[in-house]
Amino acid sequence: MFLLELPTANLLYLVLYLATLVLHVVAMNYVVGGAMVVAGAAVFKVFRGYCDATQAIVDKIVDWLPLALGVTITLGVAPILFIQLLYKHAFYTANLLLFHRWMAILPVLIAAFYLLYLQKTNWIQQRAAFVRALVALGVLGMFLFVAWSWSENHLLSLAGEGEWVEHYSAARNWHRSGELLPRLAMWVIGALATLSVILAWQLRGRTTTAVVRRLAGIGITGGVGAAAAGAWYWTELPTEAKLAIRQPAHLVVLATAAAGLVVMLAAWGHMARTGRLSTVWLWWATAGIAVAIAAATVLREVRRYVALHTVDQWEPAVEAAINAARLQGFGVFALFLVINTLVIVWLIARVRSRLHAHAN
Amino acid sequence: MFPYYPINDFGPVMKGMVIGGLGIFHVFLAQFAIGGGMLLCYFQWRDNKYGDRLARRFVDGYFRWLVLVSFVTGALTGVAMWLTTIQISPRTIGLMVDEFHWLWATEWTFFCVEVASGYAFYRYAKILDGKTRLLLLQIYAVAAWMSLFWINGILSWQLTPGGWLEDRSIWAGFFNATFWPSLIYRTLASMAIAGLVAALVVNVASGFSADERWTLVRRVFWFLAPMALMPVVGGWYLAVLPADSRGWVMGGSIAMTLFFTLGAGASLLIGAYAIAMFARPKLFVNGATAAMLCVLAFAATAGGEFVREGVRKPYTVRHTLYSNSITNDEVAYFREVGCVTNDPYPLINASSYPTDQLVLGARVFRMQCSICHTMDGANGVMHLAGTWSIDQLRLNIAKLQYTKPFMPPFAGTPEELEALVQLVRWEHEGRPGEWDTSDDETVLRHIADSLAKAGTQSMIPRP
Repeated sequence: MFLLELPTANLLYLVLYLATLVLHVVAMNYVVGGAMVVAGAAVFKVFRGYCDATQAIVDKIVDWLPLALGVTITLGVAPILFIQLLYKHAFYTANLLLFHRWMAILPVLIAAFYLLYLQKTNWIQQRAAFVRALVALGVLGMFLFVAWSWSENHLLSLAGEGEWVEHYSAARNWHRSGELLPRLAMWVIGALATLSVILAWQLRGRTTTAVVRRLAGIGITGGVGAAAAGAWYWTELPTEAKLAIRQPAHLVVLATAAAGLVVMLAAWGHMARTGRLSTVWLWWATAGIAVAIAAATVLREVRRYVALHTVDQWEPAVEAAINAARLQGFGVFALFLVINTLVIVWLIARVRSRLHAHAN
Repeated sequence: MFPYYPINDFGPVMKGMVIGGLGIFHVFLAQFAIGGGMLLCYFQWRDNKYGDRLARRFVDGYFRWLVLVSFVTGALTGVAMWLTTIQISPRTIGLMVDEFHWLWATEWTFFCVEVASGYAFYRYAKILDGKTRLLLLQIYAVAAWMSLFWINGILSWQLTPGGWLEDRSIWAGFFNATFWPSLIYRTLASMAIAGLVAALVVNVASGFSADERWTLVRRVFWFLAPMALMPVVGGWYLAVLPADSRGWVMGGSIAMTLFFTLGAGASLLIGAYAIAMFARPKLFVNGATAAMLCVLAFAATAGGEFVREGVRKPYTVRHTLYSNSITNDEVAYFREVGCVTNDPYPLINASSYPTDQLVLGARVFRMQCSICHTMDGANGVMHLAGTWSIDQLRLNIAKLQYTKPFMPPFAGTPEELEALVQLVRWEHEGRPGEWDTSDDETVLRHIADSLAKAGTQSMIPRP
């Protein structure tokens, strides 16, 4: 397995990259999945009203989406930092090659952010259904554009110098790759599975059977859809990547991802049947999706390893990370990581206790 | 091996204007968030201590603005700064990340605290008790200020890397000569900006009576009182600047001096208004005046940031990396092998140049000049050197660091230099369809002599 062959310094940065990326992906899934559900519901409402269960789910998502996007962006800072240490040359080159198109994600995100706040206002609630649908679709479209751009950037960073030069010479703004759509579909549809689990924790204690079944529907759609898109992605992967994933160690990771997905699907299946959000089964669903995301993130790195190896960019990247590696400052980071994590946990606990006191 | 990156053309816009403009906007918003945290702590303290309900209403209203402006646009322009720096100078940001990644990661942990405390307050403040509200605001304010603490060390290191140059110790680089004056100055600026924005918000927000507005505006204006220290701290900053950088601010570079004057003048005007407020108890600041003072604060930020960026020249990291992302050692190397010999990226519009020599010149321009200059737009080479004679061009570019000490030495072969000279002449002549190739051995020998005499070192003496 390529992870085990890495020098210690690279491994440390890679582990931090993957760990922070997983956190970012979880928050991002809430945003993307949430935007899909809200947009879908808003379009549905243009033609006919929906039930209380859907309303409860949409209300909760709309209420939390701005915070979720803020958290997503903040949690995204760390993986962007570590990716610059690990794959600086490839990452920067892809950024530069996509130029305006890539930089457009920033104004788009700002616009989407404000639209999320707009969705919470009474003003928009009083507008016609089609206006609300337009706003919700606009938000979703913007998030999909950002997701598309990240996927494109990532795939271009794996392409190697020959393709980079060709891209630059042709002054292209887009990078076309057969992997792009299935990869995007896998991550975007999979977002629904994460969303369902987080929403279930948010709505726990206030759910009806209909809400539980809606949530299960979202989770199962996300899980099955991600698996189907994953199968499609497999058909588009280059032979070298397929061979690498067939190696025993990587097959274990793939099997772990699949197992996580199956556990999540089984847990949602059970909760849908009983019509009740059981804490035990919800924990199973949470564990399942967490394992699936972590394993999928590792497999993502296998794909990168194969791609960079193929275009002779892997060794230079490893060497550059070794040269940049240093311990000075690590202690300060570790110290504040612990302290600030405790501060966050403490303040959440404090606010929760005050809210309980207020409710009683 | 030199890391070649694809270089984008920004048209008539100087790349520095893009990063500078965004930087000024982001710094203003970030400082608003930092000062805003402190301001809110003060008002919440008043509520807790004196039962000041007006203060509490102000906190609830102002925090909403803080979240909408700072958490959204402030946070995203922060990410934009990173991505734009990659667009402008990937090697500079790469070096900064290589050296200070753990401190950047530390800063990130404070971002997380900022977001957690900020959103907890945003969502639940109305139903929380005063003590918890104050605690959340204090945590938010400390986290916001700590993010300034970390980034300030990294940015000031670019100008005054100090002991880092000797042993690459990140702490010697972080706690550099300009670290403390810069940190204190930015803290004072943050408080002033927060006070001014608050005066504006109080005026435009609904729900306050005229008396309440008057009371609040006078209270927020106390946040401008620490500005009295700015001349001292600014003087301290100037005193610890390297002598050449200080010289440019003090008249050596008129653009730098003008921006410095703009920053100082705008701050002075704000300070004068604050003194008038303190001296005349009946004076009030209405919405229009508050808006004008905010514009002045923005101008002061712009002046300060422009000077901070400008006085680093010819470096992006002093004595380490030139503005065009070339190191001292690489200057010598490129004099031998050529700066674009191994550049894999061709010119996009190569067919618009009538000769290969002009294509070569354009590639040299793209690599060495385009980071700070355009051909015919902002800071255009045509405006600066278009009227020079051909011999003047050859000599001035060969001895570039002598021509202007804030320029880096030319990093290329005599052939590349001559190609650049021909490109400038060709552009000056209006890009004619035919152009003679200049390959006179005597000319190239003279250029080689001039390059040898100029040497490969900058004119800025390394301590």
